[in-house]
Amino acid sequence: MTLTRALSVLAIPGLAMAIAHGTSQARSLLPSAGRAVGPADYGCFVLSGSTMTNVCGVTKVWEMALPTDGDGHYSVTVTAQGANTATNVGCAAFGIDRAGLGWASDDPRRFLSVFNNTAEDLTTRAWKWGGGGMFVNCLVDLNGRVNVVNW
Amino acid sequence: MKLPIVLLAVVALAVAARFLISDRDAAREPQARAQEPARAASRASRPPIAPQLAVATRVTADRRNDEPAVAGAAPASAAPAPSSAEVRDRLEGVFRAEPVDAAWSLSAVRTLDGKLGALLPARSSVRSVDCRGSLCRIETSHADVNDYRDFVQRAFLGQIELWNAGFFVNVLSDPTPGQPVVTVAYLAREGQSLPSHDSLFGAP
Repeated sequence: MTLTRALSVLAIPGLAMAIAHGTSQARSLLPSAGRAVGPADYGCFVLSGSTMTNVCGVTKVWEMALPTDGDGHYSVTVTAQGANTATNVGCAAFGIDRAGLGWASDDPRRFLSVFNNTAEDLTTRAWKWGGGGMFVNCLVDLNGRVNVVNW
Repeated sequence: MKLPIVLLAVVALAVAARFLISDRDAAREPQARAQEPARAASRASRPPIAPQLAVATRVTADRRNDEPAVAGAAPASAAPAPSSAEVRDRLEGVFRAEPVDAAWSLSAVRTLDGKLGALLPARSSVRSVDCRGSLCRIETSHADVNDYRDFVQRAFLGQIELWNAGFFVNVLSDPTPGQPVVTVAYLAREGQSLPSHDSLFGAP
């Protein structure tokens, strides 16, 4: 009886940890959470099944804020695709300080290297300073598509 | 009646223990995960977006291996994260200490000089452009903070980037109303990454 109670009590945090584990490893957002940088370009990004495509004739800039749980170094992966080199997508993660006066990206912007509408991961890193924030910025050609952002 | 409860508890404990073990193993993997961008970079090429940007996506993976870059998790550290001003000061030290690669430096300064004019707001100016071994340093002056932010958007976040590399940009001192805003940017070589925070501040 005592053993049963003890195990039952222990099982509660055990189950909680098991459930929480799956949600603490990474975050993800769909591109509908972001937007075009220029107001005139808001209509350029069209959602389809919550993936996002640039339907305007030229390259457009898209950004999305990334909620974070603490300061430090983050690795951000944008999964994107394009049919060919003329429908490319290039993305990078950026940190911004709390004064809105400092920006940084550890890595160069990554562009698609595989086409034929094959989804490809574009991973870059950035530092999130104390009190600051993070975002991802993508250059999206006509018909370039962003599927999901993970970090 | 009691047996299912006991079985449930045992299974739950086993699952929790397994996740604890996998968490510990995952904590040993940040170096491998830190190489993911480098692997991606090795595949990457730079076709048409903004064709004026030549992009060589080589990344200095070797100096990034000590990064605690785990997707989705900031490194657990008791030390407070450095501020952007501290990062600026460390980068200045690294830049000043670098030996000069004369051939690259000359070519890089010429490239940056050629591009900066088109990216600066009308009331902004270039104070200096200097490149050494692996970094370039650009000092600019802006009429106000809004002009500075326009410059950042155009030069680092827009369709016509200065060039494609890791970068850091910040003010040299806190802006004073009515006074020009003087800023500094450090850029890695095109297609490369900035020095890691661990190399700037020392790995814990």
